[in-house]
Amino acid sequence: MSRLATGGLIDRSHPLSFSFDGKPFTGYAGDTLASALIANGIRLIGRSFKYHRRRGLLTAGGEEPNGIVTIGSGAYAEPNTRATTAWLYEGLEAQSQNRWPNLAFDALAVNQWLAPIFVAGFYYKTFMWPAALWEKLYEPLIRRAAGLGALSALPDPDQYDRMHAFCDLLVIGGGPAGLAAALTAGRSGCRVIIASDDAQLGGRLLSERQEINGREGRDWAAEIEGELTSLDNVTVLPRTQIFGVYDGQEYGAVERRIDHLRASNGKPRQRLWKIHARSAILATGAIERPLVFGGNDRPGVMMASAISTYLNRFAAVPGQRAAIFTSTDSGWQTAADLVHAGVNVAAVIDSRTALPARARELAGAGVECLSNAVVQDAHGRSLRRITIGLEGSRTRTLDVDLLGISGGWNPSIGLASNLGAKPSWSDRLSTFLMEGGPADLHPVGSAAGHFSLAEALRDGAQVAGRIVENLTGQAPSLPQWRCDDEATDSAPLWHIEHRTKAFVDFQHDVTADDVSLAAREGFVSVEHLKRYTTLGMATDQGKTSQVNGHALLAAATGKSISEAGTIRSRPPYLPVTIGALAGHHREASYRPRRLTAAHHWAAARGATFTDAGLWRRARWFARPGERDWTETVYREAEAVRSGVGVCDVSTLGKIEVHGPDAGTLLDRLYINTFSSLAIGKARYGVMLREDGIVLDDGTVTRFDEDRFYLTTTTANAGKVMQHIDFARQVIWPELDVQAASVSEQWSTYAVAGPKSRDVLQSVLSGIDLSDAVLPFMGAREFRWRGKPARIFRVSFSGERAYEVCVVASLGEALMEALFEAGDRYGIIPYGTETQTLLRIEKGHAAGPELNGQTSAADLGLGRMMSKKKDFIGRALSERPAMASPERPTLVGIKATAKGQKLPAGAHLMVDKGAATPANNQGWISSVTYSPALDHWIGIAFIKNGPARLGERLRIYDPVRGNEGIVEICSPIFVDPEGKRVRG
Amino acid sequence: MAETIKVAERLGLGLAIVQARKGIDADAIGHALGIDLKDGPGRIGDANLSTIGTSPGSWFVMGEQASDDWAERIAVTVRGLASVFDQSSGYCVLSLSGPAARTLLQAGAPVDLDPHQFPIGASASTSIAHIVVLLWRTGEDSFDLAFYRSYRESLEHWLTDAMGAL
Repeated sequence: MSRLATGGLIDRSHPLSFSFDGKPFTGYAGDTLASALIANGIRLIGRSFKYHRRRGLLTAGGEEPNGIVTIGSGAYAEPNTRATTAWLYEGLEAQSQNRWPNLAFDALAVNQWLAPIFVAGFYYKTFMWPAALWEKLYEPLIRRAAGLGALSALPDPDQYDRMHAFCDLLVIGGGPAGLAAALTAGRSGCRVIIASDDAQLGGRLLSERQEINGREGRDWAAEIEGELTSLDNVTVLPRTQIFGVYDGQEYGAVERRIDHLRASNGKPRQRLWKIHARSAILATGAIERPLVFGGNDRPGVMMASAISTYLNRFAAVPGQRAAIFTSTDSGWQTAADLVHAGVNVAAVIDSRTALPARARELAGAGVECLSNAVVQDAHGRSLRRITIGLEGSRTRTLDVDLLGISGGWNPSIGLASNLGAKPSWSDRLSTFLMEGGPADLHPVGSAAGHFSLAEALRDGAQVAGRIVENLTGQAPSLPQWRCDDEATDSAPLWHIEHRTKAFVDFQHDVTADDVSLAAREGFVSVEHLKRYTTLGMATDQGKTSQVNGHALLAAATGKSISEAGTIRSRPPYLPVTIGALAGHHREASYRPRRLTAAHHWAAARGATFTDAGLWRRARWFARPGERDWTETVYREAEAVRSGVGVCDVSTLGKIEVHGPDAGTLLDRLYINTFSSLAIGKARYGVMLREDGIVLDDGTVTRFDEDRFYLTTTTANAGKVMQHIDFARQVIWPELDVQAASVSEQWSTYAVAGPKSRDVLQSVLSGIDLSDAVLPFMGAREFRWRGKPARIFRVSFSGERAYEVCVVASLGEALMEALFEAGDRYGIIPYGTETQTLLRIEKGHAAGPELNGQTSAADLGLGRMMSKKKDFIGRALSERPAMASPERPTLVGIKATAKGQKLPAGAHLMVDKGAATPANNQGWISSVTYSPALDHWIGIAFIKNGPARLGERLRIYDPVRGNEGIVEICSPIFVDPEGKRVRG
Repeated sequence: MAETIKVAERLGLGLAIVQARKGIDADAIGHALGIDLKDGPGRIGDANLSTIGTSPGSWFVMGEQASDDWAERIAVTVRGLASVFDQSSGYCVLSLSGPAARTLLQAGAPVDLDPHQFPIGASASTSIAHIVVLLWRTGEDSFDLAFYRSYRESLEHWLTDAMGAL
């Protein structure tokens, strides 16, 4: 065991059992999986992505590239989880990834021997010959070898929820700078939200041995957190990661509510926060930069600050005999922490010329302090020796099992470039800073390149103070605290002579040689470098690799780093589980459903439903014993044509247009005229788009001088309402016309068949339905059970039919009344399939014909276009190509062989001749078996169709393989003279 | 937490959309209706008759214990001044009340419901669970919301999940 007896923020009275790759271990409450593994002496965590090299933990934070594991099993398994930010809980099960059969003996380690082939971009140069092998061999092989981690393929059993929040100031990060800022703004009464992805606030104070006002940093942080929690205007969100900055001052965050507990009890596991903040402070700290030398990926090579974190926060010791290789002052602090913890520190190897003041103290403790020195190579399957390069090309070796490295600090400014701003290089600090980011997002502390604790505290308070003054007009008093002003200098070290592989991107196995290769092959931009080598494209988005990679590329292309630039970080900053983004909207609830008033009535009658946009519509009503849906639908169709049937058409759009200029507006929207429509009459109408293509069709009814009611198709209800609103508000605001959707106000039922009037008359006692009073295309308002009702004598089926509307609160009641009264007439309910069959028999256009490609003339409605008025779409309809009879025009087609089915969507070629575009005569839009005619029929668009009745064409359907001959005929298959509809 | 929220449907309401005719301002319509009608969001009026501005010259109008011909009578009252579109059956109106009502609604609606930003009488047209909702505050801990009746089951499903998550 490698656990210190005392110290750290773990709770030694609360031990926790967990397992890693099936082996049992113990940790404590407060541990992460990573710290618990280190405390148990585990050095091997995983195998690298491409080469399957042995890897240990590199860091102690979210930027971890190597410690990627799967936590949980079965449906709860979450792959690609960073062990460094996974809080330990009782019974946690973790598995290493990317190795087979196991971590110790990984068969794919053979990839290392093929390293010369697996250089950057190898897949652009290989797997090409022979071409035939691609589909059968190469692609399946690559597919199996690619990817990191595996999904369980089981549904996610957890719940996720969502919350919206609004504040004056969002503080991103709970370290000293963030706490100072939140306190300053919170005390002034502003609405503040402070979010930290850690379980506790405090940031670096939890990992370092620093004092503020003479107290331990962690105690200071706890006290500030306590005051923040006590303020009503401050919301403290621990375990909450701000993952992205979006337009409109919106920030996305995920709160891990119970990931640290095992059982969920049905409570949401994670919560998605959408936060609107008038201003924000980026107090996200900085990420330590690795050094690029040979073997720098060996287990045992770790970031210096991570070693300090494991020692100080978790009392876990990552090695027995350590060395530090640094180009920063902060690296020396780790040496001091190791000495303080009683670990043998062999040497500090500083690449800089002058040693910092600390060197004296450490030399006194027996640590060898070397300047102008570098580590060239690290050796051992698990680190056991390093080769040090000294001045004058001398080298020496040192036996160590732990090497802390520190190459500098990169401010965590990823979020600041989400909206497109690019970071800029600072020569003074040798790192990238965000100077031109979003105006209301302010970096502070280490995130702004102010690396000392004293600066962080000052920065946080000052910037928050300025924000408060901008918001309230009053400058608040700024809190001040005393602490040591520690040394924070560094000198960049981009290039080190090495002999073995030197890694730049640990997660994607990109080496320094890959960067040089990319430059030699002409990929000289950082954007090319990223995509060609995949540097920075892993789940860590290059947090520990970008800057090193860009520096090497700059050197290889002879540019300065400032000229070479860097890429922009994309949200999410750290991986976000898709369940959190979906929240409530998953599986059947991914979108809301709209139900008609008679929905449950229909369900009780055995309806099979389908989706029509967001609506649920009954497709057919199967009876027990019916073999399949065709038997049901043909029965329903015959029943309608011989008796009476009812179809719920409540989903169709319904719009009222009122006002003195209502008729004028309708004349401008429809191709035909409505200002002259008589009161109490209904008329079929067609609307065009500006380009002359049909937008929608429906029925317009006039109930009064200044009151019209129109219907639309279900799919276009919203679009037509928008079209009408745009016309009256924007195009012709001088017209006095008002309009509103009444789709939800009314339930509408089509009652169709020879017996339809009989049924309706016995139910609707308040109105005379005789033909004299209500002729075909007539409409009336009346009352049913005291509430408003309407009846229209219109027909889609071609039978005597009525559409009856009642207020939706009476919809179900009307359906019940119709079926009670209609029982003796053999009344049946019918659905969309039968409705479709009947309208095809009558040659009526519907969705498949109004497909966004057809004009009024194509539909055979050219003569409906008024020549006496202007309307939307008229001008462009008159373009020669739009008016040409050569365009496919609506006709009927019928099968020519017994039992022949017709395929909708198939094209039609000349009967004798090759199947070529030149011979393409048109296409089939709708088809059905016709019970009335006992053969299949269809509606088709055929060039010059109406002039070619009787001609035969050949079906062309290469995708599905259908064949056959059809005959062109009139589209009105049943009752061509329209006698039945007029009764 | 769920016990601290009460959800009740408001029945018997008369509902209508009233849109001003050209050249007619809110004062004229308000005068005819007997209330101090204004253009803009927010609820004006009382249980007998209240309005919520939803867009320029357009109001969502409500009346409690409405007769079967409530909308027709409103239309007669404002004839020549405004067009009236009966919506008494078109919308479902729910009342949410209790100490956790604001938090529950905040989970669904991307509108700031802080009492200083959204006081009694404030209204917003927003969406919850992909459903368009007209939302207004009726008391310190109570809100009403109106939405198309066809979405009722979906909205109630969201309410159940959201209450369970609090």
